[in-house]
Amino acid sequence: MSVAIRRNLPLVITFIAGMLVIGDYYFKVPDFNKLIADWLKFVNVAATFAVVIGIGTLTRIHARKLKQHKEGWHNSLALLIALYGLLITGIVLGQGRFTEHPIYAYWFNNLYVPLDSTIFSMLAFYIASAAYRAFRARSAEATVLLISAVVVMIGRAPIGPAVWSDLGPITSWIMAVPNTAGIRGVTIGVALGVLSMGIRVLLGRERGYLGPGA
Amino acid sequence: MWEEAHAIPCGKSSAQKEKRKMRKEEREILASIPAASQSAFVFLILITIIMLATLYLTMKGIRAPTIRKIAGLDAIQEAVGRATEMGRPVHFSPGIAGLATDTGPQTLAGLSVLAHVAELAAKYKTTLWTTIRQPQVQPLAAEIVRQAYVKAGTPDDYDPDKIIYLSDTQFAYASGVVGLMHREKVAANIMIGGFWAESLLFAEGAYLTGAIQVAGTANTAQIPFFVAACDYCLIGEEILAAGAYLSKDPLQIGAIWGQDYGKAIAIIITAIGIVLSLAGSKDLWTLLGRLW
Amino acid sequence: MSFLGKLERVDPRAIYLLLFLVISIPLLRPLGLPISMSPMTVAYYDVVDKLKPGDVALISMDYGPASMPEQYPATKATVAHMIAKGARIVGVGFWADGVPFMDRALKEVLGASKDHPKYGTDFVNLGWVPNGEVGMTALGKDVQATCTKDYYGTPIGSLPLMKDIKSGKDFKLLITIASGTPGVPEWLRQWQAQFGLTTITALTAVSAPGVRVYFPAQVAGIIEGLAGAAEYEVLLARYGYKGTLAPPMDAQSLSHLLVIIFIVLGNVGFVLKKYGKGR
Repeated sequence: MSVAIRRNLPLVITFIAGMLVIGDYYFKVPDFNKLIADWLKFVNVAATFAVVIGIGTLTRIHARKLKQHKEGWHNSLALLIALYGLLITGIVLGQGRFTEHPIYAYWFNNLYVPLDSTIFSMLAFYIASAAYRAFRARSAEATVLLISAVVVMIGRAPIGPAVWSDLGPITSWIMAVPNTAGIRGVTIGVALGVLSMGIRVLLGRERGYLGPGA
Repeated sequence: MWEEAHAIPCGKSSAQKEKRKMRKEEREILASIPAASQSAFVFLILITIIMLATLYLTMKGIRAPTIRKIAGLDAIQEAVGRATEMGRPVHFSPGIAGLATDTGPQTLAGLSVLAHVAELAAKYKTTLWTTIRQPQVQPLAAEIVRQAYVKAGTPDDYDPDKIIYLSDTQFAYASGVVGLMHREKVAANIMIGGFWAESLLFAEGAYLTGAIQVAGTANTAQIPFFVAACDYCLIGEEILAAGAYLSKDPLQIGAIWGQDYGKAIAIIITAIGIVLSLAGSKDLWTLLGRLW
Repeated sequence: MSFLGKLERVDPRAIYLLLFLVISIPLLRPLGLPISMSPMTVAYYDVVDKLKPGDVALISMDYGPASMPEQYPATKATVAHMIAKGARIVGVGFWADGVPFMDRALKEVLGASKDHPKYGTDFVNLGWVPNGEVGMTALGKDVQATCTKDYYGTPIGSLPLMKDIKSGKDFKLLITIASGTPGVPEWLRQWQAQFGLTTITALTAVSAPGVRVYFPAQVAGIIEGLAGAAEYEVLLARYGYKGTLAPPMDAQSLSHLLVIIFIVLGNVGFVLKKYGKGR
């Protein structure tokens, strides 16, 4: 395959695929919509193979670490045992129905769920220390941030409205008006940025997703 | 022959009938757009035309707009320099988003900043750790870092083991990153890309190692955490402008310029809407709900 | 270091320890603080309450185990509310590790999931649909082709409830219990905009401000975090639903108070030091 075709074929495929999906989103023409619906089913199946790529990549990296006895190799061993142990349990023993099998369900409910929840719960402690450090009245803007943060924190917890009933409406106003306005502005800006990137990708002007040499 | 020369045509020719049929089909296709999507469709076409115009003008060198100063991006050099002086490594994360979703542009933005960070790290001979969550991003990041070392003239300093794919599970990746930052005692932590709940874990984890932090994301829910915990923060589409800002590429600058026109249109429509709403009119709301 | 200096730089570990205590104690000895109502929670409740017997609602598990403690109470309460209204439920999930929570909610509310006599007629659990937004698009266009079997491996053609469900147009209500991506914006693009479907959502508190921008035009009701779920449980008391979130709300109140106290202390130290009293 010539260099020109190798370079430009992905761009042509990207353009055609993108235009078809955009066309399907806006134009309601039954035959065309049915064609795209069938095509999306194919895309859905094909894209699911990314799970296989993820498993393969993890296995390759951690098997190499085990083989070379690099620092932390015992963590890699634990990962591979957990990964393949649960995969076999779910697919073979559970006949593809994973949490329907009691062993898999036990691991999921008593190991995976508590571990994931625990890491997430660390955020509560980190936000406390970050808030303590960050909310200082260094300037006028920082003071406004400080006051609104304190009002919202106390207003969103039951104790706030219990102490002063007007705190609820004040908090709702802060969240509904200035906060929402700011987020709307950022959202519109980001959406335009994503739109701009999408146009460049479709036109072949943005090739970052193909790799640095593209 | 005179009759033929002066004959008055009766009825339409087949070419004209075909042309009318095509116009009717085009009208039917346009009419098929649901009411809720009509204004979005018009806006999409308008922005595309504007974007094509601005890309053309900048790539031909006819106009050369400049991007305003973005303190966070200027601070990257300071952060890498500080890490070099302290003899400690730099950590970089391009976020946890992939390339194929609507958060893909954030990852691409992160990778464009990675190119800049890697060049600085190669130039200053500072260790750079790059942690990756999505397996499809890992080869891109590795190649970007390798090319940075080649460009700096130190290809032998490139270590592929320092671009680590940790896990594609969010909090397993987060644990890995925080562990690495503590073990390696990073002095600079740069995070540009799509971040979710793990953002504060990274920011606080790096703070505890005493690292200087430059962070940016377009996920609105995480911006406050970065603002609170990091030294420099890029907000929203500033990260999407990062590539243009650092590389001065006319294509990317043209795209930013086109986006600004889009924002101007949004501001004008908002202003008109505010005035009409205050006057008690719902005309703009109705119009945007159905254009044809 | 002077006292004011210490006030300005409290060791984070002290904050963590005190926070652990103020969260743990109310969980063991609840304070019984009253729970106030947010208008968005009331809007969420009203939308579900308007469901008529036989209406079909789609509920999507778009969260994982990390946010399960915050999201599962809203999941269970919503399922209970829909059952109380006689609505028919189709469960689905776009987060692979969130889908088991639908099964758990059915078991906790009804006592059984796939073994329940009304499984297949009154409620169905379709399980995981991969690929995020692409999967949502595919599901909206053709439900039967996208999910050929349910979560338990039963062909969905054999489930009476699914006989009339061909596409997104056939649902009355969309409920997404979401904590990230894919989540609300994806549903709004692919379902709400395409089918004009009434959409409500229960979110983690951190995601809620970003979704408020769509309220009320595109998202008709929002439950914000655990506080919103506690408010929803209060509203469901009229259906005999027994809520469990009063002690966690007490813990949330005290933890917020503690953070505010530390912020105030830090600012006192900062301001007094700035004005020279810290020497």
